[in-house]
Amino acid sequence: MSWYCYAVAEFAPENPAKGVTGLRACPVSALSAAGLTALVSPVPDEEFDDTVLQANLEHLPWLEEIARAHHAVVDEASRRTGVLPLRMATIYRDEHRVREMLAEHSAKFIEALRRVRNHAEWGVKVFAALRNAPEEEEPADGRSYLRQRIRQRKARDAGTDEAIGVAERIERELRQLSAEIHRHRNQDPALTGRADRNILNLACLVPDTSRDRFLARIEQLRQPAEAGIVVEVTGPWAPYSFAGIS
Amino acid sequence: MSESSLSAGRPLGVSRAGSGGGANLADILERVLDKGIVIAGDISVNLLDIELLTIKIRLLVASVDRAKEMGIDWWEHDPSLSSGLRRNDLVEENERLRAQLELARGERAEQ
Repeated sequence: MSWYCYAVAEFAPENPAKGVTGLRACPVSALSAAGLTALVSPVPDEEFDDTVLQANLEHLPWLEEIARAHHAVVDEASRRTGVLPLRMATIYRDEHRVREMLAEHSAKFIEALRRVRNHAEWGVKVFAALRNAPEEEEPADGRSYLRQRIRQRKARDAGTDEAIGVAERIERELRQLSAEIHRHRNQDPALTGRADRNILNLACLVPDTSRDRFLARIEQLRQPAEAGIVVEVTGPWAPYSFAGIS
Repeated sequence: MSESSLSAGRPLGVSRAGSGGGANLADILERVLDKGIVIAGDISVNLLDIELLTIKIRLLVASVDRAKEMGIDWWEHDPSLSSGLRRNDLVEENERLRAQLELARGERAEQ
């Protein structure tokens, strides 16, 4: 049996994840050292040992299950206290090793926890419809085909430029209401399953005191809806994108 | 997974279907796999190929979310997805996916 580590929180005398269920229906417990508390639960070696884990990570339904369970624990804990989520599948052999890890990185953890305290992460995605080229006659020959292709591309690029301009304006506005902003990779159409294109995928670290203004601003940015532009918000998330301690 | 585990990352006024009022898998994976603190654990896994893994997930997620919207769980019963591929199969599959990706990139660059 090993210990799966979900997140690190500031030291708490009471288990901040009391009553929370972790992987494989085991309760999440708290291990403390160096002014910090790690949220952990036991996992069976036959499922999480080196070679098995590597294979399991490539087994996508397994990956989905663990990702959702990991997220459920982090999410619940982040509602109760400030946490730094750990990368999925951070596992230690025994309790002693978890405490060693806390002590080894304590200065950085404490600094990062201070940075995200009373903040939440909000996801903001902007989608833009691709502009369709106007209907044109069948090209008569190769040369007119090429000309038509170039015209169509120019028309579409112009549409995209306009959308990117809108996205940049949204980012500038949100930056003013955020402590930090991180750009995620734009999500692939294969991933979103949408006909429009993801042109901006932001994580915003927003102070809880600015939360209402932040969300109200997004509502304003949605109105009036620019042609073909969709703005989506998710959150509050635990500060996944701002937990880095490098 | 129970519905309660989907309650996080609640979208606000989000039009996306299939998220059941909760966070969608793509948003979750983007964070738990790509973000969060990276520190060395005692069990080491090779995350070097994380980009490829992400691509594979992207392909799967797209189908899984769509399937779930339709109430279908074929992927849980598809032996190629659920019985655990052998290493050789994975290597082959990785090569095939890389080729597909290159092709897709090429097509996009052409457009």
